[in-house]
Amino acid sequence: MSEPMALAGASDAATVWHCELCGFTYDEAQGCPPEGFGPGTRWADIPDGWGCPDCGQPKADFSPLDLG
Amino acid sequence: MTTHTLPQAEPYVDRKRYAWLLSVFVPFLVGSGPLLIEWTGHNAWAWLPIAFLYLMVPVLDLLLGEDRSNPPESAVPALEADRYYRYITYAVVPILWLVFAGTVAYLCTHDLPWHAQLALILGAGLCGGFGINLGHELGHKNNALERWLAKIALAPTGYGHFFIEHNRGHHRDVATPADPASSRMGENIYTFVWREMPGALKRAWGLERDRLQRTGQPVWSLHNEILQPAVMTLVLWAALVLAFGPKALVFCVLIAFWANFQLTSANYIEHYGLLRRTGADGRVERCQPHHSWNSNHVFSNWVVFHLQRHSDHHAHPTRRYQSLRHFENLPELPNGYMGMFIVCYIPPLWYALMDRRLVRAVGGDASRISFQPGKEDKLRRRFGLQSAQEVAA
Repeated sequence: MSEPMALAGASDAATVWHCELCGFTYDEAQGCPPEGFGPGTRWADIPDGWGCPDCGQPKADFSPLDLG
Repeated sequence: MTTHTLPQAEPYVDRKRYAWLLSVFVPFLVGSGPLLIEWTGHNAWAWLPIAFLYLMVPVLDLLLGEDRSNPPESAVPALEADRYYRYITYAVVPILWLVFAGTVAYLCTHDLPWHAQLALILGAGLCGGFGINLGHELGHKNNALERWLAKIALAPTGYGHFFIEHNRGHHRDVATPADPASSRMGENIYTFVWREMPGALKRAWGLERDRLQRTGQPVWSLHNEILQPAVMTLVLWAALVLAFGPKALVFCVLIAFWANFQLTSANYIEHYGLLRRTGADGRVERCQPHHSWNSNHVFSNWVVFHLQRHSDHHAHPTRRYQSLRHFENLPELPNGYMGMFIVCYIPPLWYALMDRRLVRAVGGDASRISFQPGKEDKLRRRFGLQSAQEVAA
């Protein structure tokens, strides 16, 4: 598992995040309307209690897929 | 036979390709009690499918043994894309509806002795259990067709909430004390079911309510993915009651209960006593293959779309059944699910067979065991269990 501290810098710039367990991808540009997150919803604005819609993993188990 | 090739790779031949058709045939077989009575003229034949599943399948598992082979990772993308494997799962859906409705109709229109009625209820219930297994396989996929087919597969037995509860609840909480669908060491299945069935519905409803609140849609609407299959259930059951009278409802409920108890049985054996540890940061460790009991028994795996390769399923939840892998050094069940179901229905036999196996699977480390409250001290004493920290101290 990636260390949260090591991702701190990358996290600020990332706009695409993926579930480390199942690969589900969250792209800020597209949002995820079925989950209630419209296009443009920033990752930081997604509640901490939200989980991956495909496998339930907590938001904390997502990692940035790009560096912005 | 179809081969899957990648550039510069040896062609991979899936030797199980046509064996998966058993996952279509066996649900039909266990639900064929009414046909067997009609063809033979003897009520006793209704017990044949039950005997096949509970007696023959465990024996076949013992005789045919285990399959520890895996497809090479280079072949997996083509294997996952091969639509043949999906069409097999789709083919089960009409069988589920036909068996459920057909059995209720047969029970309502024939004067049968109690033992024949019981056999038909158990047979249709077992078929419904395969329906939940199918709903599980399809419900994990992220395309609309397969998700809708999952709801349709789960509807006859009134368990449409399962795919939400399972994907977003059980997979999140598996092998933790918070999970109503993970059994604890020292907990028997008859205690577990009272935690598992209501806990699943409650967790599913909470998850779906939260999602709908985020989307701004009303909870009591057809946007609700629990209510969508529930409406199908209502329509089917109401149609059967209208056609055959109120007793149809009794048969619907009994068949649905036995079907749903098959899921309870699977949940009971799949994670018995295994615990994901909580780190110093308060976070629960990620689910690993060793947090599930695995079974490589070849025959029963052919019958249940590889569900028994449960360790890889929880570690990689969206992987399709044909690609699930065996890993070395996993907690291993001594038989397939059908055999282990029978064992878990007799709790002293289950404890005798599994408790020592559990202790071995976790290396004797009590901090990796989820204990039934009130039984921890007794079990620690019996097996001389200490946590790794206690040993270090």
